[in-house]
Amino acid sequence: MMESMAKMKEMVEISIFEVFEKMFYIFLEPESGQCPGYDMESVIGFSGSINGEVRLLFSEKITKVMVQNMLNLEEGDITDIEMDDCAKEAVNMICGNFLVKLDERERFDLTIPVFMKPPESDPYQDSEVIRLDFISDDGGVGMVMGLSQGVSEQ
Amino acid sequence: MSFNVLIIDDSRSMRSVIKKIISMSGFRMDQCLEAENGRDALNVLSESWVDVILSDINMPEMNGFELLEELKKDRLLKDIPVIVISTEGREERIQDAFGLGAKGFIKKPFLPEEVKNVLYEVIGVNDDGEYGEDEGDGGDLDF
Repeated sequence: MMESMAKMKEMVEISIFEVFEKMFYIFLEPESGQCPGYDMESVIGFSGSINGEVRLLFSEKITKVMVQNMLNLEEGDITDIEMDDCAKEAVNMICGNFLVKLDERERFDLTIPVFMKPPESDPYQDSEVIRLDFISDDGGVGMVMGLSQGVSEQ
Repeated sequence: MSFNVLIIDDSRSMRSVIKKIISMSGFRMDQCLEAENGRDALNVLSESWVDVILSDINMPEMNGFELLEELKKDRLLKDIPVIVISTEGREERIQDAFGLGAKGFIKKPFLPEEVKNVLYEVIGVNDDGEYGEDEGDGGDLDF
């Protein structure tokens, strides 16, 4: 199983669209220009024939809209707990969905997702990385996937 | 007839969504109990009877597969139908879940109709929430 970085990028992009449209009713557009600012991130690790982690970055605005849409809450009823929870569930679904697309037969183990402030410095300076940014009417979403082995550069 | 449902997921938001989908589907739900993981679920089941369980797989403390193994060993709990709701969409993992006794599988992300259809099929009720032949229209949900 040696998918190219380009193919993997395409797969994870489709996974992001599927999760945001089905679970959060948010329609994202790829953003190739200036990355929007991100206020928070959720992270999940995976291990199998390739190892790595997926970091999903959010603006506060889009995180609130995700909670509103998923749980049908008014903005005033949203707490940090729901925002934390939705962000973790999003990265969990995206990573799981992507890994099935990557290799339907391969077993991957996922870590329990965590929610945090984005790091100030880039954690992937020496790693193979896939980066994607998206915009929507409700704010921006970014994805960074750091990989440690088994990927070709095609 | 009304049913008691147990929803197991470490995400409170996901539990809320599943509960909302079941409520809006017209399913005759008496009690909806919740648990954060397999261990928590066994505690709930030691005190309350449920008719159907909907469980995630990837959870801390006791995951969904470990829970299925525990249920299978318990004379009183082994016949409760379990529907697994998970991001683990590989065929092998789905078959693992069925091998451990799961009666249904829903892959995240899901549409409300998928949850409703699998739940109704596993419990054996039609769109009116009655036992018997499904005479409904496939059951689109309006959210």
